[in-house]
Amino acid sequence: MNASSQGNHVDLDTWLDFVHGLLDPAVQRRALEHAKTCLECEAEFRSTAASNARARAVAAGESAVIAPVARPPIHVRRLPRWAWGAAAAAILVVAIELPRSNRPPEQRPLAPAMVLPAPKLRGASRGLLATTADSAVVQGLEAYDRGDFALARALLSKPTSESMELVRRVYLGSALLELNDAPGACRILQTANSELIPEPWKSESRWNLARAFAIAGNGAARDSLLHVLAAEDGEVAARARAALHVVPSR
Amino acid sequence: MTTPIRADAKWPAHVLGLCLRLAAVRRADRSAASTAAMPAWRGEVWVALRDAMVRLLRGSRLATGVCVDDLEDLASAKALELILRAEQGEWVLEGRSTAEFVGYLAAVVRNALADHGKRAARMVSDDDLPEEVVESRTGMQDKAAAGADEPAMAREFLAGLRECVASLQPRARRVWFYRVFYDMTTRDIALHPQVVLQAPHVDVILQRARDSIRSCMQLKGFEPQDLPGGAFAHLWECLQSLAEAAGDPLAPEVEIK
Repeated sequence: MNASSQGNHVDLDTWLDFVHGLLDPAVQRRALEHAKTCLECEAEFRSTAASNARARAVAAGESAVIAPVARPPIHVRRLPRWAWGAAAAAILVVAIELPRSNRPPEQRPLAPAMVLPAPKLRGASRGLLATTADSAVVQGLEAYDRGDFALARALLSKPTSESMELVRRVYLGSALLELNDAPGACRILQTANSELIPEPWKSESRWNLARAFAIAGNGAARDSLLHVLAAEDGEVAARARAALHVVPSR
Repeated sequence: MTTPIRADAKWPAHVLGLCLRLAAVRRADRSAASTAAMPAWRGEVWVALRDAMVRLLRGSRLATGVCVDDLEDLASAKALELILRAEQGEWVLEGRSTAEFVGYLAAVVRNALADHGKRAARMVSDDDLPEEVVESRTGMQDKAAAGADEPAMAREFLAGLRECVASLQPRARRVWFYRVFYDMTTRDIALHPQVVLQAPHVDVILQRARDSIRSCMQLKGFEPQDLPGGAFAHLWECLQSLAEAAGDPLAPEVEIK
């Protein structure tokens, strides 16, 4: 069809370029016209565009909740309720960057978080023992379960294989919090992509992040995250709703 | 093993450029001993890298039989891992050519698929699922393929559908399109940066949009579920032109400052 296709079809690379707006308009037009009459290419286009849209949603949700975000716009604007998700990101930034003197004076720490439940490592233990780093994670989780948080911190501080990295971050963040290292817990928990964490670890780790924000004195960030949790279902959501009821917002 | 990357594909250089910029910004942040602040476009880098991983996964023979959800999960995890490593200076990209960059990504994909294959061997396959579950995963494609395929009829159908969709409010159009053509969950639609709504509100908008399109199409003598082949491309083009006119394109360009 054209230089961007293989044979008579539009290839995966063209659709990826298309979705990212990297194609020349003429090539984009030809690809689109072809897809109108080619079921196979249309399916590829649709799959690529849908995957990209889902990723954008995940990325947006992540930044609105816990991911590290941009440097502050300095001033805080009141946004309409429907836009609170986007606002939460900006609020988090401002909260993190505000000097201590500008923080709300009354911030009671939240109730202690539950100790996180033991991870589900179904069938994965064989893989875990494959490397030294992963063995350290297994021992770290066992130490965490025993309440030996100092040992857990030591064992979980080293990055590990990709399959256990999120688990490591969730438990390391929790161990740091138990050891009163709230800034450290904030840093590590913010790098754990909550979208990839199954329940109950997802909710509990975000609850721990809210606790860490509270202890670190970041009341705005704490409230933003609590509002997110409170809008969900489950035990942590109920806990967040109760906390919001007790702890006055800004 | 992987469908070769076209020599003039633009995405490899695009993604490499994004990763390089992120790594440079984070390196500067570290040297300035700054705190947790990160660029707002970090998410865009993750999306681009994830899309690249999905492309490589889909082009791999090892991915045969792996469902789309699993491929996307693998891509998401690997992209995040690579970004973290780039930020920590463990994945050095400076001086790398796009060919080296893509070659590395391809190796990551191969390893991820090999690991997935080992895990999958211990899991339940589609063959073990009830028939209706398997059907529900493939039903939409079948419906689209078996729909109104007479060319003249299809053209009429698509013209009618374009009119009906154009009559919706821009946000309702987007929500409806994301659900019907992208199969996105209510939560994902609500979170999408071009929607940003509470999930229950998305459901309300979606229901009204469906009712509106159904009524509109019935008035024209069509059932909206009879989507002919090519409907997605036609609708994408239609919605893109409507969205561009409103200054809010379907696939916005990434702005990185």
